[in-house]
Amino acid sequence: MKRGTFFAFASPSIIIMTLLMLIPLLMAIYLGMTRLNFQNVTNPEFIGLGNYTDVLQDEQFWRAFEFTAIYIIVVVPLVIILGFVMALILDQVSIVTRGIYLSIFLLPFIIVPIVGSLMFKQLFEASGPLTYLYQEIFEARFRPTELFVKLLIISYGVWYITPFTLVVYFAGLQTLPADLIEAASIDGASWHRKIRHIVIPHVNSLTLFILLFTIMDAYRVFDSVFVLSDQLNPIYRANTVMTYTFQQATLVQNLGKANAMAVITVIGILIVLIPNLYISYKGQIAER
Amino acid sequence: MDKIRNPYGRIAIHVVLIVFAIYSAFPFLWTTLQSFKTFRDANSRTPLFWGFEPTWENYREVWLRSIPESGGATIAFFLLLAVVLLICALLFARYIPLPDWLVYASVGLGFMFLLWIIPQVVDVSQFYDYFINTIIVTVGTIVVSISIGCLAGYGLARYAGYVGVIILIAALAFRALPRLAFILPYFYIGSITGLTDTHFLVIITLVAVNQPFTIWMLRSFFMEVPKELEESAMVDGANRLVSFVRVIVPIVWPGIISTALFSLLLAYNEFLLVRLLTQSNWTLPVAISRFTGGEDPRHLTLAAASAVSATIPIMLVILFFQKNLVKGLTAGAVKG
Amino acid sequence: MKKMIFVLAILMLIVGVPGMAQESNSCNVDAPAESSEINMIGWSFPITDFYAAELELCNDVENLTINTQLLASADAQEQVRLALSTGGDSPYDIVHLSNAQVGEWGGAGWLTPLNDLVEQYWDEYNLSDIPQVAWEGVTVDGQIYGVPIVSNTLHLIYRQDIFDEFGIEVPETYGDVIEACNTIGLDNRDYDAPFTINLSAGWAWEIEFFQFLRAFGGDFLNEDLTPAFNGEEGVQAVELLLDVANACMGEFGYTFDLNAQEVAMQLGTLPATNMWASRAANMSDSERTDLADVIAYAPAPRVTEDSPRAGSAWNDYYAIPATTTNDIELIFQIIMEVADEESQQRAAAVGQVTRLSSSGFGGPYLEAAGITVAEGIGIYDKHPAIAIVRAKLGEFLPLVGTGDMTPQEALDAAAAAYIEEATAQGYIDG
Repeated sequence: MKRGTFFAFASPSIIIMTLLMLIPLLMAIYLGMTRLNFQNVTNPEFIGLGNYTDVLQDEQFWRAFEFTAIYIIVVVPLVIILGFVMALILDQVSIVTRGIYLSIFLLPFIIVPIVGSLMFKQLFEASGPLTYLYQEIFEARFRPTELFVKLLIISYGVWYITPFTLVVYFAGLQTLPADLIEAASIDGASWHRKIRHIVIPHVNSLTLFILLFTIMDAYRVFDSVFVLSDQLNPIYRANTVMTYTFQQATLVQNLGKANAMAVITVIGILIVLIPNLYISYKGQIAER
Repeated sequence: MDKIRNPYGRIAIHVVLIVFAIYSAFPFLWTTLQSFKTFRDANSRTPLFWGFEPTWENYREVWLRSIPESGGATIAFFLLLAVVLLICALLFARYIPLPDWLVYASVGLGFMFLLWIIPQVVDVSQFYDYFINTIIVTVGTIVVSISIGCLAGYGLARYAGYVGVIILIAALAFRALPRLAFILPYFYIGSITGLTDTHFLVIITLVAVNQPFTIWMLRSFFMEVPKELEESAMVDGANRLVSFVRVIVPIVWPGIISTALFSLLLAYNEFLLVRLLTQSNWTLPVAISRFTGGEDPRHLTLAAASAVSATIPIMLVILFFQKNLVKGLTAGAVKG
Repeated sequence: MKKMIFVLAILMLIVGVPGMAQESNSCNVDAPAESSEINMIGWSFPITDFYAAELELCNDVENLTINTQLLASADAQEQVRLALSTGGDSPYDIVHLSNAQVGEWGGAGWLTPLNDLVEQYWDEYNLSDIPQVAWEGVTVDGQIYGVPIVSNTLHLIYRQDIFDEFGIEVPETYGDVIEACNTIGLDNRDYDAPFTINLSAGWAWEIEFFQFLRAFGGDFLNEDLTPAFNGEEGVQAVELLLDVANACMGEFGYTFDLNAQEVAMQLGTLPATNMWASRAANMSDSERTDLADVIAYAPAPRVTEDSPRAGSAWNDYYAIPATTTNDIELIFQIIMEVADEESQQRAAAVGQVTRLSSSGFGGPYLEAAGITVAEGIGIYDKHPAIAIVRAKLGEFLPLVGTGDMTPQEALDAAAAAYIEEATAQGYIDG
């Protein structure tokens, strides 16, 4: 395809992405350098890098960053392991049964996150079945604590993302070369040796793909935190970078600082992703 | 993998699968139960799984402003009948002796007619408007996003130049960025142009946010199509655009549907962007967020009814297209 | 003046004419010539839910469509700020606000002054029936920015039977409250907690802090708009809040939101709570609770024996944005649908209304609410700078609860942040 034709095809998409992603990003960098709140929305006042240094010195921002990091570090491996194991197990049953199970397993993935986390929370309301269970078992009054809410946010993350990894791994298992497995079975290899030496290497590229996407999405977790921490009750200290930025923009009404914060989080995720972007870049160059 | 034959192993497998199914569905099931309870039953400190008097009252309150004075049951019956008939027509489209596209188009029109007629015959509440907004935003996002995404995805699949790679990598980087970095400027742009609170702004921003993922996914589907196909079409005298529309798109159609499902989930799910960019044309997630503030005492019953109401449509769509969704989830991945 | 209103209210209560309310559920607005769509945004509690339903009755009027949108309070206010701050056409025609927003939104020019309309309709709707204090609360520099539709305050709701069982007198001060909590016992497994106040969000902290601060004799700002809240009274106020939270709610002190308190009262798992009068009606609703007979109401406690009561005199208002695209007179008439005598009489069953003539229709909590307002600490000043104070306190006070800051540190941090912002906005000179 010629360059001209390519641009003819790609231009609507490129224009939209430039207008609505690149330019807003540049605007965010600029707005981050202004004193901006709801009283002077139409007339922001330029103040230089003050907001950026403010953010970097803000203890709460770093705490939010820390929780975001913990969230990623816990959720991502859990969904990968759980998804892989469940895919292996699902692979064991007949095709019709699979379809039925899969429809149920997909449920968490298709429920709107706001609604899904609301449903999750209902289990732990004063009248919720899990609250009741807790109180019966531990004979103690149940109220959410900081640790509990954080665990709840993480559990919701696992519940919500596992179907995605499960399906991806499940599809990967379908392309497993049958002759390799057969040869291994004839050699008398045990089940777990087959998994370790044939299956895992086979799905390695999938794991990389999952890693990339789950990290991206976990980094910007918002909806579930917003709902499960009772709209960001400070006592749970469960702010993530996204919710803390949101809070700065709306409750504290410091739009300038919120923009600066958003820009800093952008830089943060890009640093994490640079190796991955570089690998993709190499791959694409090689492929063409 | 080869199958485990040990009978105890087989039982264990099914037990694990059933437990996982319960784990996946339990929050939804409990919320559904709650949505059929009265305020008192829903708040009972001993959770009631059975033995309560089921009531439709919560759904009534979510969807209707007032009950029709007479003939309510008749209206409800006919509306429900229409919905069931339309769904059946969709499910059994291939057995209907008409071209498939005609069946699908008439079902689409039928649903549109239903959505239009309902507010004429019953006194619907605000929730219905939010539902309509959600449909407008979702459909708009899918249509725009997929049409421009197909063009770009095809271009990227066929163009070997350096610029293509740069665009792909830039798109991947954009995919990673936190939403708020865009939304605050969007709010700013919207307020300068007077576009805040319009469906247009929400759709166009959702399209932009979704575009990186769309072009990557569609590109991977277009790469599967052998180049010779459109080349032979072009030899026959068609230009690139015509050969693309006539030859390539029909082949990639299942892949396009898969991608569209992801746009659908994205637009239907979006909370933050809609919350900050619209003040009256809310979609369902924003309307439901009212119950999350710890202030609305009906946060168990009404919230449950609206949560279930918002989930059922998406469940129907996904059940219908489940194969495409699974295919889409694995598309980019399997090839690595 | 306040005393007189209170006396009047009580008189009405005694000689009131319950049962006179007529079921005339219809909207009396004249049909507009062109089709008009009126959007209302507000936050949800029983009486505003009632008003929303009342407004929607006007859908029956030809050419008129009414949309009502309800969210949690902080969310609704956020939406209004997003919509009105830009100065473009307002998506809303009616906005719900309370005293806390009057200075901010009115001062910023976001709302339409209603002086002419109020004057024009004064007799037709008998607006003198709404107390002068309520009107004053929404008047900035002589401009009336809203119509008072709800009066509100935080007062004590308690279980008479539990108090009798433990031999507890109705607490007159927060010292008594703490004592009562000790008597019932923090670890008493029959109850969620002995007593609760709402400290579950930044804005909730700020509201409670303001009441305690004023009761101790302090205030948010000095005459010259420099911060006064980080003085001695401020620290006392935060410390007392902490004492109450520790003695009465323990480690879960900051998790009881309004819902949790309300439902726990209705289910009988809470002996006492500090609750909005606007929610008290739910305590005598037999659909929701069996305990209506034993739930009792008392005025808000004081912070010391001779201080005012730590309860403020709130009003909620409906206002019209300055940039609305609809006919202001039409919107005013629609607002009057909820502010007229007939609908206020019915509204009185679910919350505290503003009209004196309707108070006879109110619930059993009314006396407690009335005393709290009359002997309480008043309400916020209407200067726009107050909005900055509220936002900053909402940001820093919760950090006392999490143990990150001492009361003095949090107040000083809020004061510093306030000074920076107020200087930038030109309210104070550096």
